Amino acid sequence: MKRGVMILLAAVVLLSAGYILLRPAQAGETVRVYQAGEVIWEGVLEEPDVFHAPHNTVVVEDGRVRVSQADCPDQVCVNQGWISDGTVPIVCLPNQLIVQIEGGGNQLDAQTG
Amino acid sequence: MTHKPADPRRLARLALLTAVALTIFLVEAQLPVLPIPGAKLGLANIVTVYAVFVLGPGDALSILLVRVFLGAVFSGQMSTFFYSLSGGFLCWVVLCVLRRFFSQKQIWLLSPVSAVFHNLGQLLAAAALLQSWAVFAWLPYLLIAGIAAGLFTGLAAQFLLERLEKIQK
Repeated sequence: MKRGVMILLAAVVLLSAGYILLRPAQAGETVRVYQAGEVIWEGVLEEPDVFHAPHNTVVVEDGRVRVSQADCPDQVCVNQGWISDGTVPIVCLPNQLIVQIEGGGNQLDAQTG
Repeated sequence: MTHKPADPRRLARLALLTAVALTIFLVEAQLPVLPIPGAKLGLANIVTVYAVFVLGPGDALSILLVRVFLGAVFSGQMSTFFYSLSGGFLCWVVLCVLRRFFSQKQIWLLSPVSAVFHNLGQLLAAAALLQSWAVFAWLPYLLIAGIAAGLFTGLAAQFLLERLEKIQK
């Protein structure tokens, strides 16, 4: 049992690390802001823009995007800083906000691939 | 898990462990946030692991629930309540199932397993609230951080158990 669990844990770590290191960069050109599953704003990565969501400010600049201001206490989304591809989204849990860079092609493939 | 409402020793022990867990939780909340959203050491889990093994599932669950609730109240972050709750609950379920198969000396190995399930619970709650699976992009990062943190808290719980046994003898 002990051995099995150790092997299993090691496998999970190796798979996760392999996935992080080896997955292809997911380029994209569209910035989408979701709130509770609905798209509330769409922008283009190459066009500087500022979007004022009810509780967050989203800034698009120099082909990257970040949340520059949030009214929640934890500030996790602000601290995450800039993202410039679709690898991970910016998530603001208290305000149910997701900022994601998406490209052409099948969104479902991009997420599970 | 026998119900003895008038057992002051049990009550005192539960209150003490809850206070310890809450204190650890609040002190850890003051530490700088890791670059991975949702990742942290989870030091309060030491108390959960200890409680599941020494006091049993029922008492461990009451400590966990009170700690999660008061932790959200005292840290002023009610939004984290549901993630802590679903993560903590899954973690507790796994500990209760696995405790039968592991000896006292192997407790440290259970903690990383329960940490993985804590991560899954967290992300499921977040996905439900955000109505989007996008948060699962963080899963591989959380798994690595969770297993590392789980090993650390597991070893801490192991040492705690051995030391406390010596005191009680």
